[in-house]
Amino acid sequence: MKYRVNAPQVLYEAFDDEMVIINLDSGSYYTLNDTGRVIWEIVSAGGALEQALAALSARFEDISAEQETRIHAFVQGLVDEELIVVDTLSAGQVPINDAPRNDQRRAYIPPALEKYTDMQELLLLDPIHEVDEQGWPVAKADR
Amino acid sequence: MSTNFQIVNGAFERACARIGCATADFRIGGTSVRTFGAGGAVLERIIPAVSHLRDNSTVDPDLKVYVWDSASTGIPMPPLSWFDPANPPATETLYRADPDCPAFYSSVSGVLSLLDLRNNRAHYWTENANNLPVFEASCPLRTILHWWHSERGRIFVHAGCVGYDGDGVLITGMSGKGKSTTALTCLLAGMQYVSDDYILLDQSDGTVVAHSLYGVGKLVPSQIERFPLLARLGEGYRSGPHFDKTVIMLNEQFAGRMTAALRVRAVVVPEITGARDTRSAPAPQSRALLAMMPSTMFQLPGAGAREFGLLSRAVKNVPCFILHAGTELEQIPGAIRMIIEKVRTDA
Repeated sequence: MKYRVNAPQVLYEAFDDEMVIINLDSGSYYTLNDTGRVIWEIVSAGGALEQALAALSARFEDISAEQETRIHAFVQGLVDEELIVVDTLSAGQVPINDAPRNDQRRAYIPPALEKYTDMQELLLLDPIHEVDEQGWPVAKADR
Repeated sequence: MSTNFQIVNGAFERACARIGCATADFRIGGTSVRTFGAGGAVLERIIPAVSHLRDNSTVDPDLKVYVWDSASTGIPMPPLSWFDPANPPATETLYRADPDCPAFYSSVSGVLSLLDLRNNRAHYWTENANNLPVFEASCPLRTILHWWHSERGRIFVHAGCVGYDGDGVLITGMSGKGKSTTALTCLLAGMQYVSDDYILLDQSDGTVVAHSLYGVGKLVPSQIERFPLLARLGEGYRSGPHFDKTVIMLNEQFAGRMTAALRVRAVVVPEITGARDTRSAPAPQSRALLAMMPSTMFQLPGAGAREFGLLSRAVKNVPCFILHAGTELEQIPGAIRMIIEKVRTDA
């Protein structure tokens, strides 16, 4: 399964050990921890989940089968939040940069997606509607 | 120029021919803005908030804004292809039909804003200037200035800014988290003041600079007791349930402390702790983006990847601090000064 960022409504910015994501349509915004950021950067760019697992294995000590299952669930969570969508068009491997050597590996930390919904109240109070080419206001979904 | 913009232009010119035209020039974010008021009714309502940015040196303005209403001029807003002034939308509505001429109708303010991006001209119209809400008059032309400056790499940010000796901090966070309290406490302590609410952020020359937009302060009811002096100054400037804030024209009352721009040395995210003392601690730069980005992005009609990218770039250029704000407000200015001093020393 290939994925891509749900652009243009989803925007994100990577920091050293975290990622900040916003969904302009829903009004929700999110943070990913470092593990989540590594997965996001590969999966959202069309990389296979196996590539993400390989990148994590290069960074972290042994990842158990149960933890792999949770990583699958984490990616599904990104899909459920409409941050990434299934990409049926693109294919191929994503280069994995600067994977640390094995002796730099550290204890595994599961990926975490934290969701913030405090802007939704504001959006419900004063939702901005956009006018399409037909010249008539169209309410954006979930706003 | 779009057909719709031409139609509105024609109505504005008829209004000027009928009742006269006043002008006022401003220096906003390093650019010159000339406002033309048909009859002056709207102009008189919006000038107080930006009077500290008046500038009489402009010859050829970068942006021209035509402000007018129908009630005082006797000239109705003509129907546009997407806007019926007799039946305006009941919600905040963004019109993108013409990419070179975006428009926005605020049902809350009753203001229609149109910007002709190619010709650097804009219209700011409302049915009756007397009905312009206090909150709109306290931060007028937001949408026009946001769109126009965004095209030039400057971004309208929901943040306050205070400082001293030309250096300042951005104070950011959701409403109710201590942004205004921090900014106003610093103002009263004699520090330089750019804003407690909105600033224009420019990072074109490699440094991050916060430009002043509105010379006002705003108090929510829970702040009235904490700022009795400001509350008295703001009497009579309070409006509706949608915006239950007292507005103080700080540019009139504290003219000497109003500052057109400060270099941003840090982003400060206040947190009200309930403890007595105030302290600060370094925080990841992602925290600054988390505090500043949501309310900035969702308050700006049409904000998207460009604005998000500008904000992200800015927070990565300066350190971030959490300000654990205590109940003894007089400690806050000292904590802000220490942050600025520390960043200067570390630089």
